[in-house]
Amino acid sequence: MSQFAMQMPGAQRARSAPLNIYTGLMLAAVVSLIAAVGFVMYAGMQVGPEGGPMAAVKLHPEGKVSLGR
Amino acid sequence: MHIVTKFLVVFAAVLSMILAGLTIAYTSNAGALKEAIQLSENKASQASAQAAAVTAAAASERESLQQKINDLENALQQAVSATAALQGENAKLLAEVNGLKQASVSHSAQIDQFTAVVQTYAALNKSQSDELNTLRAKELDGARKEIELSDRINDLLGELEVSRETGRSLQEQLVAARESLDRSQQGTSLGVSGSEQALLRAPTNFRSQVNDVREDEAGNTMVTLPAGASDGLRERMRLSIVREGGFVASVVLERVDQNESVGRVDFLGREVTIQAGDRVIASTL
Repeated sequence: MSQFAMQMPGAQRARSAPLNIYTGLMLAAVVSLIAAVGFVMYAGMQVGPEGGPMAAVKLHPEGKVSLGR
Repeated sequence: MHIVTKFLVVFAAVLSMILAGLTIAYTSNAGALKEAIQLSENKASQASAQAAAVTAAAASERESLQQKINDLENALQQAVSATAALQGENAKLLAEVNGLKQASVSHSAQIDQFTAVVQTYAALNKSQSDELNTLRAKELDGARKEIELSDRINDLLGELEVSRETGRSLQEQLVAARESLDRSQQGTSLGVSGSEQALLRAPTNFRSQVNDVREDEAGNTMVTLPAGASDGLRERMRLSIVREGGFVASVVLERVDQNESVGRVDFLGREVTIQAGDRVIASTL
């Protein structure tokens, strides 16, 4: 029943998994991804159409480039 | 697995998807920008070529314009110098004009003075002209009287000359007659005296001259006169030959034609010669 998160009287309290090396690696990966998203977003804002934060996810129309600066 | 690990896994997955989308968009925009940049570079190169051509043309045009500017500056310099010269000449002419104006004023005053003098002289000249006319009239009157007196004097002198000539001729003829009378008293032939008494008198106012002088076979001197019967001459008329108012000889006409006569010269014993042009008048004896 414990697999349904039910505590039976007299049952031994379930023990949580400890933090391990994978947790650290994921933390480093998350930090790296946040940094990469920041740099790419900043670069996308520079080359995106019409400027602004949303320019990082917009595309230039065909045959026309407008940086908005 | 620890809850944090799970949370990080989920969060990493979300970040991966976001990063993928952003990378796709960035890549697409970067390509577009690259093409745009390439196109811009081409246009820039073309524009640079056109600009170079335009610059070259502009340079040549600028050079020509600079040449024109230089020419215009030279012309301007010359015009400025000419203007300065003209201004100097203008100042000189203005000075001359002022001098001429002053001279004109003085000349006007002189003209007024001369006009007054001329008027005075005109009045004086008119009075002198009137006086001159009067004097000329008097002079003409005097000249006319002088001419009349001269004519009268000439007439009287002519009459006096004729009277002297006549008197001298008469004296000469008287002397000749006395000599002839003496010769006749000394015994010369009576026939001659008788023949002289038959001589005729010529017309009183007869005047002529000797045309020709010659001698006949007997040695007598013969003269030819340009007068004849039409002038009242007849044969055996006695005439006198005179020269410069003096008696020279007598002539007895021997042949008388209508307009010509021939006579024999009687020198009355005098040593004289007869010349063509000697005057011939009527003899008073």
